[in-house]
Amino acid sequence: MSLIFRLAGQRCNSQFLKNSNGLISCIRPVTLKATNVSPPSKEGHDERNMKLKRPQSPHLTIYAPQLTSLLSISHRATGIVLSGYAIGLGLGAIVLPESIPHYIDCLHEMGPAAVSFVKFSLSFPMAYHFWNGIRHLIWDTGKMLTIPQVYTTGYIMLAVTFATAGFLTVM
Amino acid sequence: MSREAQLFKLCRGSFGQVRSIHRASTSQAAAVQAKEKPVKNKVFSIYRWNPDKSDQKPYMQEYNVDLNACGPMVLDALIKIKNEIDPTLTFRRSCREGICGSCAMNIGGVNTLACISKIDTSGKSTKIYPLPHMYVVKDLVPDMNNFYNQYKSIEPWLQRKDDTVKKNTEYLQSVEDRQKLDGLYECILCACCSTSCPSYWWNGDKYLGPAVLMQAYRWIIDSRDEATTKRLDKMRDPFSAFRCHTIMNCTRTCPKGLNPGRAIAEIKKLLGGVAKKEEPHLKAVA
Amino acid sequence: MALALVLKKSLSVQATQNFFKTAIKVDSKRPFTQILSAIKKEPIKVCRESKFNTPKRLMSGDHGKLWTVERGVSVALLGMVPIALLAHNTLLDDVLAASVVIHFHWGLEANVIDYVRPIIFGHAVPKVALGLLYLVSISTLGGLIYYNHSSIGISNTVRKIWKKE
Repeated sequence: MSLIFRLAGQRCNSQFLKNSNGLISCIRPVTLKATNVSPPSKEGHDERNMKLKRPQSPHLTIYAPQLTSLLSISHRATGIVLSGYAIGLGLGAIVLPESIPHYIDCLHEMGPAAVSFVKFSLSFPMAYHFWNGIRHLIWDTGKMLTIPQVYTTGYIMLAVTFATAGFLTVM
Repeated sequence: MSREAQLFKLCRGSFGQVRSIHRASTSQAAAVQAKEKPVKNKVFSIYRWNPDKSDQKPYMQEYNVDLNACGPMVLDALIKIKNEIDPTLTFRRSCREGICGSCAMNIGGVNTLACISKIDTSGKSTKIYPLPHMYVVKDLVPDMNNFYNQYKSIEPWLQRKDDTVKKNTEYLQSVEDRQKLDGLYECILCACCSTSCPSYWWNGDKYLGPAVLMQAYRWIIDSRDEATTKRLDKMRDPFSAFRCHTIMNCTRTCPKGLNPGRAIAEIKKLLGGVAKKEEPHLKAVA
Repeated sequence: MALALVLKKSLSVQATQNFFKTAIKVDSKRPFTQILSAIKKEPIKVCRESKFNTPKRLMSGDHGKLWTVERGVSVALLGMVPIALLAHNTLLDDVLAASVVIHFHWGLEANVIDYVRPIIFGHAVPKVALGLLYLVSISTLGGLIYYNHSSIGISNTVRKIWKKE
């Protein structure tokens, strides 16, 4: 095989060397046309893809639930719940027909189960958001951000949260 | 006739002899193997969409692969499917060794590189999707243009105060300063992390995403770079960097074991004025 | 077969050579440099811009400073919550109310920005949602301070719920 190519090379090169034009004869006639720079398309990424009717690949429905994302969304959820409590108390104090202490008396009259339910509903989101909040603030200092550390602190936080919420509920 | 042709005539007969000997031995071996190696069936459920039939919605197609006749990685299975079962299955691939980033996709619910993702032999079907919340060009191929444009926007090259001076020597950097780049420069821009981030799903047009932010950090903390203020100022708005809520899906999914979440935390500290870039240990221009 | 192909190619080279004799009149001495200098006279402009827009980034203010203040308030709240809830003091209740309201305002603002996106809701709805949020936060702060002064206050409310009667 190599013999064949060597022979061919010798044949071709000898032709070029004989010729007065030299190596130019092996250049194909190609011209480059200089054009102006075309301005970047004003169409955004989303617009272009929607015009092409391209679907979006699935996300929430297919992505594996992981401790990282689950604890993060729970932090957001407990935050929203606690905000709801604060907004409920603040706006309720103005708009409700009776005073808040009156409603608390009504709650106590409903029995210990109802009271425990309310205590747990207040304690659990508070405990979770509080302890996970500490985890977030530690991350903001740049510490504990490797995956083993994120997982370890995550499990510790969950344990402390359930312990705190349990304690506050029965207290 | 040429010498080559004569040589070929001579060897022709011997090639045939060698072939027949080889066939005899392998046929015996194959007969033995056929009894020993059963077919180990594995089902792959793969996302399909054809742009030429854009009215048809995306669907999942199942393929059966004999794992005993297939390499160990998911990419091996995909290539086997494409070669033997369905040539229309479309996916990106190149190096087959986890360094180019082409075959990034969602396997078993997690973003990773197909070429270094071992096939789960437990018996359940493995679901394969394109990278999440990306526009699909075809089957497992996403449109990466937005991602690349975002990377371009952070100006990923060394910038000095005086870039007009042509130097003939290298910029000096101490060993400690070089170590700061470890864990940052190895990024292969596969986009596994960015497409695992829910913030990037919801605001991918304005939020840069973990991959690009980690590269922005790589240039910010490079001791030889002098455009730190300019680089940081480009990210002071509420979207570019601050859509990160430390979800940490990025670090969890990185197939190269890198930590974009930590890099973004450091960026936030720099942007918040809580931290400052260290002075270089060695003067870059000697 | 390879040999035959290569031989065919060498024949076609002859043809192109003949073509070149008419096309390019170049001196036989140093032909390449002459072509290169011809190209240099008309340099090709390099297209620097990519085909699609680089994403525009909102240059609306310095979120960096806000981030630092947010963390500061969060750290303060860590201490405030147990202290205020146990102290049963009206002033501490007011400080708790203010810090809780501003903390949840920033938190809910992040929710609105993340989820109420222009691509789904258009350009008006996110702004309306943000405005509503401001309204709710200010009303809640007002309500809580009013509650602290006209009624039992936040810490006493918690104490009342937990009181074993």
